[in-house]
Amino acid sequence: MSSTEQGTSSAAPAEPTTAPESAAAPEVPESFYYVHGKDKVVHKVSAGALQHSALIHGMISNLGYTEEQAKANPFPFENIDGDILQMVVDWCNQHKGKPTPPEDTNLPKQKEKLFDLVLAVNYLEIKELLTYCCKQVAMMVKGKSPEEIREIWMIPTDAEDEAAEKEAKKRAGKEAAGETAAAAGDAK
Amino acid sequence: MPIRIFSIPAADFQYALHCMDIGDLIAFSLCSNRTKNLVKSSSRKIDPISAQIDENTILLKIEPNLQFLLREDSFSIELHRGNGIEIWRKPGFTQRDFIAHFLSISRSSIIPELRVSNVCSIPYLDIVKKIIPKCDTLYISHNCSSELTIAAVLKLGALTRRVRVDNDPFNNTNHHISEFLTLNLDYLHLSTFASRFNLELSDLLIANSNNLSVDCATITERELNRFLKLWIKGNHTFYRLKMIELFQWEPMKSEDVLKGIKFQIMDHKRRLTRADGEELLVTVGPGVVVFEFLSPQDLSIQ
Repeated sequence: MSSTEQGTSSAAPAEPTTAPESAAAPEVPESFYYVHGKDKVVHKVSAGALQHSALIHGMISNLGYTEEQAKANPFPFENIDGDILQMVVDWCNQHKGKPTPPEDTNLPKQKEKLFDLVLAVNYLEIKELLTYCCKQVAMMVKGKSPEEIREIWMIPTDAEDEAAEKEAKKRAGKEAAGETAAAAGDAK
Repeated sequence: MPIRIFSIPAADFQYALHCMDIGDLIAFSLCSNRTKNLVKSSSRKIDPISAQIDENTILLKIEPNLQFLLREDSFSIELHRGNGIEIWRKPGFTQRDFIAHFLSISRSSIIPELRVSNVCSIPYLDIVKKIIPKCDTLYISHNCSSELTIAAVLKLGALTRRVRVDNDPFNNTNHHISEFLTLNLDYLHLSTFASRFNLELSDLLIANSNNLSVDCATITERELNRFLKLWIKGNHTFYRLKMIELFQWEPMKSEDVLKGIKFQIMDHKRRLTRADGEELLVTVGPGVVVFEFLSPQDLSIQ
């Protein structure tokens, strides 16, 4: 029921190409909102589907947009890749108005995008999808040895951790010294 | 496709840990000190390992379907988790380090149970002693030979707080029960009804464990009576005993056990009080004699 437009970079999104579901049209017309990610592609999503996202739901409640205003002002999520936002929107649409089952086979399975998906879903505060994503993250290392887990999850060795810690301390020391010098300069 | 796990928000990462099964969580904990600390600080509870000596191998069990076998090379461990065998190694890690790691992530300081459950060679016990740290209870199963049982208790007893022996190693051997009684343990339990343990007064006087329990003990009322009289007079130093529990085939006559001794009746027990304030509760029931030693400190707690 959602629609996607490609390549719209202006603030006002073009008319979505796909019409919303009409077969089971509710008695009260459903309101729609618009979101776009880093790629500026605008997605039309129903308010019902967006209820999964605590962040967007909160924004909608606070703004009180009319449909026209919503169309003119899509919610920008510049920190989310377009394809990831598409996944999220698809998931929200599939689960509009119904609770997510504990094991949802319809949810996205793209492991290569999982990390970005977790970050996006965490940002958008979609609790159920986040739960599933975390399970998927855990499943990535099922039955693996420590070496394999280190590789899959890019876990630094103890030596690398120590080196990073030293570097961070060094940087913090330099910054502190810089601040002290600046404060002394101001005092003069 | 790899992902940088530590870039995931902390709460989400904790939830991912929560979704992992215990074997995967242990594998993750072995990746680095950081991952070990993350597992330790997570809400997941990992059961402490129990160890089993089976022939000439040591098996570490965490869950019924999660077992590690210590291999002969002393640097690697073999993981059995349902669908096959994996070999795990960690640079710089010995098998002792693996055990210390498992105890650490289960937030335990000792192995709860070390079981000698099958025939192993006596020299192998020295290897066990080098690898296994402190244990709570050493179990010697019924199918161990007398020689192995005695060697296991004497060599490994120092690692443990409690010892339970499920066979009679003194039957038809040159060894005597006193070899076990002198051990400095919290609890010594000789647990078999297959044969009888013959005890004398001198055996009870050298008992050095806090708690001694003997199934199927054979001792006369007269010997027990002499033991009680020595205790009343206080002319023998009873350093550690808290309880002696003797299960017997032959019923005992409590009047013979307590002959010539002053006592008070307290419920079904007889209370003996010494001049220095120490007390001894005696229970003589059908098939059982129990002595409970109470110091003035114990009595003040009660």
